[in-house]
Amino acid sequence: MQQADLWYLSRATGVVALVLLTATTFLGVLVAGRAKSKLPSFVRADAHRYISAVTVAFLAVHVITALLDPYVNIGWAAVVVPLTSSYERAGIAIGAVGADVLLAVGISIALRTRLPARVWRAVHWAAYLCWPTAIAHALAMGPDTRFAWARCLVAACALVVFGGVSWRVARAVNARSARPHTELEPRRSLLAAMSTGDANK
Amino acid sequence: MGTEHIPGGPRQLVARARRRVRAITAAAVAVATVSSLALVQVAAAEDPGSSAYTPATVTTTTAQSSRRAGLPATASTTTSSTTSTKRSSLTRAITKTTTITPTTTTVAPTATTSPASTISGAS
Repeated sequence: MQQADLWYLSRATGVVALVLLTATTFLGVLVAGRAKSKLPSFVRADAHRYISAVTVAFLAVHVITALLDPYVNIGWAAVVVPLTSSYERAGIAIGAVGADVLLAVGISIALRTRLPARVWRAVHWAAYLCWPTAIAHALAMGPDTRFAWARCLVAACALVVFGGVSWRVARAVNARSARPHTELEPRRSLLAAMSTGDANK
Repeated sequence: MGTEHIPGGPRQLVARARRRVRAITAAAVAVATVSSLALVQVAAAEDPGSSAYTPATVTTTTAQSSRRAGLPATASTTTSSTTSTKRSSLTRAITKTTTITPTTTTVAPTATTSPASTISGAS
């Protein structure tokens, strides 16, 4: 393997990881929003979990090949600590933020049974940050974004995620507005009785 | 009406669905791997000259003056070099550059060539 092959592999796995992250995010939106589908919810949850694992694997290859590439010195600390890389400081910092969030989500998944449900859900909500950071990282320093096909791919990913999130937000708003009022209106007869003083009789 | 008969039972249905999800995941892994390799080929194809360091070329030119006119021979050695770059066609911010400063060495003539014969003019 030549030195440049590491660079090509890093670029390729980065693009594929972005697509997989989009699929993971979209599946997560469907699972959390309880979308009506022919597929049972556990099937969607399993798919979300497996695709997440594949995404992490490709992301790991993306990071490791970038670190092993001797052309630039990124440094292992820059993977998780933002603004420590001497090369493309801003772009790698955005990627490091995404990696940190993904790491936190992964740890919370591993400790799910030991964490309170509210804490787990709060950390899992942070996973929504991963996708925009990945897009920003790709646009900031991905050399392939100068090609039309890569820009179309990013646009398609954005369309999928924004569509899913919009659907979920609309569903949540509709569910809230359709919720029955918990305040019970007092009956007119009772009000009338109270006004005349007959209620205590 | 009696209860609906589910062939295989609900547990087997669940197991079958889970197997199907795993198969779909395996297919996704295969597609992702093939896509990665294809993208590697695309990256290498659009960037053919950058698969390795471009070796620095050193050109040595030795200029010798003509001795026909009886001028002293002046040997000068000029060493010039081109910069060694890698992945020059990529949009990476850093380009590794090694520049060798051209040097010129002038060698003083050691001997003066005298004409072997004297050409006399027409008598």
